[in-house]
Amino acid sequence: MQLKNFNSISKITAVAIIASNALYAENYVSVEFLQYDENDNRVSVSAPSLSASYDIGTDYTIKADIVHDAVSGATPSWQPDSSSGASSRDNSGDYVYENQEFKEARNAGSIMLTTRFENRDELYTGFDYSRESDFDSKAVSAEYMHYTDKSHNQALNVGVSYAFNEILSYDYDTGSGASQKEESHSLNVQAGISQVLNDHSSVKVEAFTILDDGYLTNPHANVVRDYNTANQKLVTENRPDKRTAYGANLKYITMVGDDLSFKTNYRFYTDDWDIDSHTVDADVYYALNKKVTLGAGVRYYTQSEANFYNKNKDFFTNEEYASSDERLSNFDATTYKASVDFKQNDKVSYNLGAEFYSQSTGLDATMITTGLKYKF
Amino acid sequence: MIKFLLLAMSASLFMGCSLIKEVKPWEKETLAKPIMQFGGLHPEVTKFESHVYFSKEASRGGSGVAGGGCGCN
Amino acid sequence: MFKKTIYSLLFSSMSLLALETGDSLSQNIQNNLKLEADKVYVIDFFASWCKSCKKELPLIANIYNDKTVEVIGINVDKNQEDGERLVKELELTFPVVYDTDKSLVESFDPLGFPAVYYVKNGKVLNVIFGAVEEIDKKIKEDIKAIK
Repeated sequence: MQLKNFNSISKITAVAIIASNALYAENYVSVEFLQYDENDNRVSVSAPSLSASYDIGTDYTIKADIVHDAVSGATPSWQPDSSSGASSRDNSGDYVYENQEFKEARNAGSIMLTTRFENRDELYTGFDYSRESDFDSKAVSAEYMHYTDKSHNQALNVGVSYAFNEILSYDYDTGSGASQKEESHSLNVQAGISQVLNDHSSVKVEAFTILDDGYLTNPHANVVRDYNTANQKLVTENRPDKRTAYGANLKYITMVGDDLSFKTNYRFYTDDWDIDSHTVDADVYYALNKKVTLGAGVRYYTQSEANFYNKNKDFFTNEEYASSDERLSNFDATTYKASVDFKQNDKVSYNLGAEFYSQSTGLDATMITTGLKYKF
Repeated sequence: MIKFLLLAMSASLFMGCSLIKEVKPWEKETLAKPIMQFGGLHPEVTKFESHVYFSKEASRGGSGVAGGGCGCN
Repeated sequence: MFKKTIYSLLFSSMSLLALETGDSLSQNIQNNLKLEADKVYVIDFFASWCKSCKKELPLIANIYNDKTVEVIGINVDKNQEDGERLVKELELTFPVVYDTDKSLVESFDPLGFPAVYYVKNGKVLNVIFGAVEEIDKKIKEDIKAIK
C-alpha cells in the first residue's frame, strides 16, 4: 500500500537486447555501475549490474546478466491541490500537476544461449525475468541469423519474442486503495539484413512490429474528468488495451583510417495510438592510442502525441480513453554523449561515460556509467 | 536538428563507399574490432540507455527482439 | 551449374582462384615457404584479431612440438608487430611467415578463417576453414590417415 503513491513513469527497468551482429565471442565478466539523475530532484536510479559471457566450445556461447535498480525521487501527475483546502479524495477542491514521491527496487536477470551451426549460422534463444513490487515480467525470445554468402558478408535475421507481464493496478477513484492484478502481453517480431559494404563499413536494415495487448494503462497516472462541474473527479488514466506498432531501423558503421569510426542510426516508429517518432543517433570514436579511445555522440528524438492525450485538467469529460502522462505528449529530446575507454592490457579494460538528456517537456537528466571488464 | 543529423548520416554513408565490395575472410581486421559491432562497444551501457528511453519516451523497438517488459510504462 | 556461373560472374574475384583439395601450389609459393619433398605440412593462416585463431594456435603448436607434423604459420595482420606480439604471447615455436602484403593469402584465397591446409609435394591434400573444436585431435587423425 505504501508504494501506491508513486508514478511508475520513472522506473528504469530491463529490456534486454539481442545484439544479433555481435559476433565478437569471447569470455568475459563485466561489472557496470549506472547512475541516472533527473533535474529538480525528480528521479534518481542507481543500478549496479553484473554480466558474463562464456564460450562452450566453438558452437555455443552462454551469456547472463543481473541488475539491481534502486529508484527514488518524485514524478509528476495530477493530485488534489492541498493549498485549495481540498482533502485528498473528496474531489471538492482544485487539482495540481505535481511531483509524487516514491521509492522502488527492481531485480532483473537474463540469460541467452547462442548456438552456431555448421555453416556458422547462429540461433539466439533467451529468457528474461524482471521483478518489482507491483510488476513482474517474463519474456522468451528467439532469433535466427543466416549467412547468405560464403564470405559471411551478408546475413539475414528473423526474431520473435513474447513477454508476459503481471501488473498490480491501483484504482485511484475508489479511494479504498484497492488493487488488483492485471495482465499484459507483448509480441515483438523483427526481420533484417546486414551487409558488409567494404573492409571498413557495414550497414544493417531492420523492420519490426510490436503487438501489445492487455492492461497498458499506467496505474499511477491520473487524469481530471468533468472539471469545474458537480461531477469533477480525479481518476486513474485509461489507455486502450491494444497497441500495434511498426517501425524500421537503419544502422551504419564505418571506420576512417585506423583511428576514427562513425556510427549512425535512424529509427522510424508509428503506432495506432497516433504516436509517430523519429530517432537519429550519431556517434564518433577516436582511438587516441592503443590504450585510450574517446567517444562523443548526439541523439535526437521527436514524437507526436497519442490521440487520447491531453495535459489540461479541464479537457476530459466522459471519453473512454484519457491520459495526461507527458510521455504520451508531443515532444523532442536531445542526448549529448561522451565516453572514455581505457584498455589496461588484453584482459582488463575500463569504461566511463556521461550523457546529458534534455526533453522539451522540461525534463533534464544525466546518466553516468562506469565499468570494468575482465576477459579470460 | 533532425535535418542536420540526417545529412551527416548520409554524408558518412557516402564517405564509406556507396558500392558493395566483396570482403574476403582474411580482410576483416577492421570489421572484427569491437567498435565496429552493431551491438555497441558496451552492450550493458546500450541496454541501460534503452531502459531510460523506454521509460521516458512513448516508442520503442528496433534494438532486438529479446527482453522483458517493465513497470515503467 | 548455371547459378554458379552467374554467381562467379557477379563476384568475379571470388573463389575462382581459391586453392582446394587436389590443387597444386605454384612453384613460387613452394620456394617461398621452403617446402621439402615428401613431407606433410600443416599451413595455418592466422591473425591477431581472429579470436578463433587465438584458441587454435596453442593446440597447433602442441602438435608441432611433439613432432606430429611440420607446421608453417602465415600471419596476415596489416601490422607485422601485431602478429609478432601474438606469436610471442602464445610462445609459438613453429616457423611463421608474415604476409603483410597479402600475396600468400591471396594465392590460397581461403573461403573461411582461420584456414588450415595440409600440403605434401606441393599438393593440397585437405583444407579446414573456420573454428574447429579440438583441432589438435582433428589434425592428428588426419595426419594418421594421410601417412
